[in-house]
This record gives sequence, structure tokens and C-alpha cells, in this order.
Amino acid sequence: MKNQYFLPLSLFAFLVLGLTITALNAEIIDDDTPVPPVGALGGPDRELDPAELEQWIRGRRVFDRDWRQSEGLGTPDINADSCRSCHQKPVIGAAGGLDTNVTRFGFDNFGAGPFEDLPGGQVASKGRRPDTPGREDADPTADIFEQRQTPSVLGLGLIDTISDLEVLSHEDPNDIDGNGCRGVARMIDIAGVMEVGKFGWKSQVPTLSDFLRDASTGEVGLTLVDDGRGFGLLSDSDSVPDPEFPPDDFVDMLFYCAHLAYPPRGGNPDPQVAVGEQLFDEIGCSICHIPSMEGTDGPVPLYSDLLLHDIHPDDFRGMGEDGAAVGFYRTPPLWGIRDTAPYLHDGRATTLEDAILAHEDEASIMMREYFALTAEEKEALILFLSDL
Amino acid sequence: MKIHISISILLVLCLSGSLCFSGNLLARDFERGDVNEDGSFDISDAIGMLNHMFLGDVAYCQDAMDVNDDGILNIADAIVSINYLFLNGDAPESPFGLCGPDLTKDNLTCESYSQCNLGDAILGLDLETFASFVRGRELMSKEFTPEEGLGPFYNATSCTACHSTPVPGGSAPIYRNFFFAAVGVPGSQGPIWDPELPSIVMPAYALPGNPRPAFPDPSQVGNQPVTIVQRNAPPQLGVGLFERISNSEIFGNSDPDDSDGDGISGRFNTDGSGNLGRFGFKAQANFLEAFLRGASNNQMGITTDPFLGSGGIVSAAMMQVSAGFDEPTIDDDLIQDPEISVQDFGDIVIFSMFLAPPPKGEMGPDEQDGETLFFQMECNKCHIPSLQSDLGPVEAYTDLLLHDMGPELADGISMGMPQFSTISASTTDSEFRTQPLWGVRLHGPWLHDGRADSMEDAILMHGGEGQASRDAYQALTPTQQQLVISFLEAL
Repeated sequence: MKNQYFLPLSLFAFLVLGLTITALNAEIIDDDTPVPPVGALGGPDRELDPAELEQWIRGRRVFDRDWRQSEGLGTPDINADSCRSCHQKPVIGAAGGLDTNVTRFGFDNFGAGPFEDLPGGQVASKGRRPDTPGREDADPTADIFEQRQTPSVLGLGLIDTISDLEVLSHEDPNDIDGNGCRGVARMIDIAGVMEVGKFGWKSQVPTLSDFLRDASTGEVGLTLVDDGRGFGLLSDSDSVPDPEFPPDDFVDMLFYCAHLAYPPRGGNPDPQVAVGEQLFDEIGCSICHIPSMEGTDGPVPLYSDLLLHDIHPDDFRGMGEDGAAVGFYRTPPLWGIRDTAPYLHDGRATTLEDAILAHEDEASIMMREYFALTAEEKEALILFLSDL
Repeated sequence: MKIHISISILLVLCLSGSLCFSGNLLARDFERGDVNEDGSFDISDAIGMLNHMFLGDVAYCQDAMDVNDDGILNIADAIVSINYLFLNGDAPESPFGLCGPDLTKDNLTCESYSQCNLGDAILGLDLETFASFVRGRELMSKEFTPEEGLGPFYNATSCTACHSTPVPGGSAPIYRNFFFAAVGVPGSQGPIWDPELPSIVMPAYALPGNPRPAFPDPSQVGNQPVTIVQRNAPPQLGVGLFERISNSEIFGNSDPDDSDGDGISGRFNTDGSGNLGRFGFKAQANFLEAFLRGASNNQMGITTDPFLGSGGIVSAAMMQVSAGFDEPTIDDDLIQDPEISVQDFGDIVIFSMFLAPPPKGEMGPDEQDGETLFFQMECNKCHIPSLQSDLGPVEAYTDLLLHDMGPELADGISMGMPQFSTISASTTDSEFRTQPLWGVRLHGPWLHDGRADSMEDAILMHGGEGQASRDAYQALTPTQQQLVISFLEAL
């Protein structure tokens, strides 16, 4: 009798502890872990039927699973032992801090350009299986390094419902409307068919499944079954038989991620929130951070256009890719932003205001309008952002 | 059912806003009535309650004193206790006789109860020290920003980034491993030359926008060897007690020349003046504050000033932790040093000094059989069950000495001072400090770099002086092997 409720209570206590004060380094989810309410942070996106709920719960455990070396952890390089390792702030599935950033490298002739990939690819992983000597280091001629923050997975299932046409309809590559903002979709060749990239800091991935495959290999070092789309490795150099990620487990994890609710609004009743929301629109933030896009299941309130923009000063140095040149990044969705400090692709902005003031080039008009606001107006705008 | 509903309500509140304050909502487990946490409810507990109510003794867990669970600490609690103990009165309210949370809402607190919870304080602290411990426990999770001094190089933004499995002060999985990069041959190794790093700890990150520090190529360091090796975060639970073990107690178990010919040496790491190392996988430090100040700077780029300094040294010696007893640490970011106040860092030191060892598990018949096998296999020759300290026995299952673990585990790193021994004039790269086994179940992966997925893997990776015990383990039947593991899981 007693044990029946002691267990869930202490689990709850552990969850609270984890959510508020401690990095979540070990598995935190088991079959008894409460499922947050529909629509809450870390909860399902809609009412699930019993079979779906079971799959969602299984998928959450896969997301939380600490992979062992004997199960194929590493290529042998790793950035994480589990998905949760990085996606945990403020709940499992969300974002991560500066110490779970991924490091990329390249060569841009000390800023003179052009950007070139160096041997070894762009990623220098943070760690490696301890049974393999050394560390994956950048090519010694690398002269440019870029960190990438952990993006939140919350709501990505809903972004997956946005059609390519919907994204393309917001393009304005020649700035015909004259607002300074261009906006171009990232086109990815998938087995001969061009698809719009919607995920990743440079929109380098078209679908949620591609995104999870890419991260399963790139961060955790797991091999996958072939789905013909080119994301994730099918084999690696360790001795564990491929695919290391059991296909059924991957399907469960994909279902869980597809049905993670988007981060709900904070619900701050302060009337200044609405004032800030209006300013957000008036000074032009909403041109790129468009409050809502159309998905096949209804509106997607993501505050992004999913297009690439250059918001950096001319002397900005960073990674370049085919279809996403140096300086171009996807407009990051702002839903959930109150919980995902630090900001920008590499986390260089500690506060929301730091992030706003870093907007240049395509966003320089908006940044200067922000700068010209009164202190009260700025406060209202930050209050609004802090409610997202 | 009711409980489940209240959980979800709390969870919603917690998830949907900032209503989750640490501490207050945390349902810390305790045993009602057992005020002195000795596992039984007796007159000494009633005296403890009265001493708190009338003499101001520190209360780690007010809930444990609230015997009648009315949410108030008063003489009635002592009366109910005495009635139960001597007059067949009613028993204390639940949880009584077992660990559990308080199920009724009140304003009483329970800040620490180490017999039921991991990561709480050892008993007997005064009010000021206990308050410092509680603050330090919170600060372990403080995430430093660049504006507060994080960097210029770092592996982590908070202490609990690497010390959180399963509680603040614990360990971490492999992805939190860090690298050493040492230049030179074992015995005279130093950090890489560029950038100017404080130690051989290799940072995974520079602040955003800066190059990641690279390992040197031997050609860049005068063709000296470059050693790259990983470390898994060591758990902190109970380590403060190692500082309370005398040099002579550790020395007494040493056998640097293997003069008894049992194949097990046991060498001590020393500063050359008889002061012995205690902390780190190579026993490279024996002063906890300096060790913590080193880690703070090496892992987070957070500079500190001394808190206790040499005035707090229990037994003076410190090797290769890149923080002197009495000198501030400094770095060359633009943030003024020290980047954490002496008081805040002192709270972290106090937390680490008085963090209790993990509570023991149940010793049933299987575990007792496993213990017998543990002794038969002579694991206890290095993992000796107990050392004496000025605070009583320290049942950590270690001798805090260095042992040769064979070529497979040798890591190319020597962190130590000259040895008074015929075996080698310095510590060798295959020597490791006997890892404490208390709480060993709690912090996999195992071994210095986390290469062992399981405790059994870890046993089977013992070579050198541990080879005979490893072979003895392998010769056991599967059932016997499981008994050994069961025993280890109870530590």
C-alpha cells in the first residue's frame, strides 16, 4: 500500500529536482513517469488513444536511453550518450546549454573567404568511446570554428506538417517588398527530388525523421536502417552489428517526437505583454518571425518563416554550405524561447536583449527600431518574448 | 489515486511556470521520529527534539521531529514519543520505520536526511555550517554565463553538469568525460603550450566565436610525446571524509616495495614530506579545497580566491591541481577575478566536505555470500572495507593507495611526486588509486575513463596487481559471480 505511492512521489520529486536545479545526466524516464498533460511542456500534442499513448511512452524512453558502448555508442565519436543528454532544458525533448554545443570547423582564409570544407568534414565531436584512443580534432589548417546550440525538439512534429509550398510562398529573394528582408528557402536534393529544408540551424534537413536520423548518427554515433533519403550512417567502424538503432525503437522515438506538444505560451496576465506583442509586429520582427504558418493539421504558431536569412555584419565568419552561404541561418522559431537561453546559433547571446541587438544586415532596420524604443517599450517587448 | 492527481497538478504548475522552487516542493524522504538518523526510534530522539526546541540545536529535518504530524514542532511531539516508547501509546505518523516523504502539507522543512537520501549532509554540523552546506548544494547547479566569468575555456557551465548522477555531488555518463592532454614523459608531464591552459585538463570549448583548443602535434612541442586520455567525472559522495583520514592511517596499509611478496604493492602519492594524496584517480591531491578550486578553473574557467586556504588544511600536501593553497586563481577573460565570491565558493567547499557517503543497501543472505566471496577473492587487499578518521570509520572500500593495474589500463599519465620505493622512482602510468566502492552501484560507467559498461566489465578489466582477484572472479560460477555483484550493489 505504502510503496504504491511512495514510488511515484519520489519520482515526481526527482523530476522537480531535475527540472529546476540539476543537469539531467542519467536516465530519468521509466514506465511510471507521469505523462505531462496534453499541450503542456514535454507533453503530447493531442489526446492519444491507448495504443498511441503506449507508443509515445516507449518513444520517450528511447529518447531518454543512455546508449552503452556495447550497444553501439559512437562512430566511435560522440557528442552525447542519449538524446536527453542535450535535449533537456527545461524538460526532456527541449534544448541545451553552452556545454552541450556541437563544434564545427572550416577554412575561410582568415576571414577573406571563400569558405572551404577541410578534410574530416565540418564536425569535430566533443567525445569519443573511451576504448578508442585520441579525440576527433579539427584539421590543423582550420581557421574558423563555429559552435551550434542544441535546438528544442518540442513542436517539431507540427513544423513537419508545413508544406514546401507554404514555406516557398514566404520567399522574397530580391526584396521586392523593400523591407530589407529577403528570405530564401534551402533546397535539398533527396534522391533526385528537391525538398525544402525545415530543420537545423541552416535548414539543412527536410523532415523530422531525417533530423532524428542525422542526430542519432552525428551526436550519439548510432547506425540506422536505410530509408533511401541519405541521412544518418548505415555502418560505422565499431564492432557492434549494424543497424545499432533497433528499427522499432526508432519508429517509437519518431512517434514521440512527432507528438511532442509545441511549447505553450507562459500566460503572463500583465497587459504589457499585449503591448509588447504589438511592438513586435510594428518594428518588423514579425516579417521573418511570422507568428503562424499553415500546416496540414491547422496553424503552426512557431514565430518563424523557416527561410534562410543573413542577419550578420559583413565581417561575420562562420560555416558555409551548398545552398546556405556563410552568414545565412534559418529564422529560429521563437516558441518556447523563454526557456532556451542562451541564444543565437552558437549561444553567444546570454539574454534576449543581447540576441535582439545582434541582428544586423537583413534585420538591421528592425534592430535599430528596437534600439529607438523607449525603455518602457523595450521592457514590454522583452516581456512579450519572455511569454513565448 | 488522489496522490496521482496531486502529482499531475503539481507537475502542471511546475511545468507551466516558475512555481517550481527547489527545496520546498521537493519531497525529501525521512523516517519520522528518528531524529538522529541512527535507524531506531528511542529516547535519544526525544532528547534531540527538545534540544532543537529549547536549546536551538540545528534541525536537519523538521519533519522527522514532527512525530504527531500536526505541522508544528512543540512539546506534544516529545510527549507522543515518550508515550509510544514507554506507555504503549500511538506510534508516530507515517513514514515511520521506513524512509518516505511527508504526505501531509505543512510549513516544516526537511533540508537533509542522509540515511534516506543521496547527496545530503553528514550528521553533527553546527547551524552555520549546515546552512552553508544547503547553500552549497544549490550552488552546485548554478550555471555560469560568460558575463559571470565562464571561460575563456571550459568543459562545463555548472558543477552538476558532471556531478549529477544521480544527485548533485554524483558522477556523469561518458559524454561528460573530459580529456587530459599532457606533454612529456610520465614523471615530468605538463600542460600543452598553447593556448595557455591552467593544467593538463583539455577544454572541449572556448567561448562562442573562438577556436577550439587543439591537441598539439609532437612536432610542435620539441618532439616530446603527447598523451591524450579521458577521465570520467569522479563521484563526490563522502569524499570529504578522506581528508579526515590521517597520513599514518593510509601509510600503515602501504607496501611500496611489496615486502610481503603478495604481488600487491600499495604506494602512496606524496609531496616528499610525508603528506599523502587522497583525491583524484591518481591520488594526486590531498586537500579538497584546492582540488575543487582546480576543477572550477580547469573545467569552467571560474576563478576563485582561497576560502579556508592553508589554514583549513587537515594534512598539508597538494599536487598538480593547478590551485595553490593561498594564491588566487586567475584567467585572462575580461571578467574580474575571482569570478565567484569567497562566500559562494566556500559554500561549495563546505558542501563537498560534508556530503555524506551513500546509504548502504540491504545486506541479505545473497549479499552476505557475495561479501564472503569478495574476501576469498582478496578484493579487500586493496578495497579495504574501512579506514579510521577523526570522525569515525570511513567504510569506503579503498586504501587510498596507488596500485599497478596492468598495461591494458595504463593511460600514459603520471600525476605524482617521487616515490620512496624500489619499484619506480616516480608514479607510473599504470598506477591508479584504489577506487572507493561505496555507492559504486550509483555511478556507472566505471573505471577512470568510463570504459566499463557494467560492474562485471570493470572487474574483468583489472590487470596488474588486480589480476589475481580478477582471475578468481572469472573462475567463479555464474551464480557466485552474481552474488559478488549483489554485494557490490549493496555498498
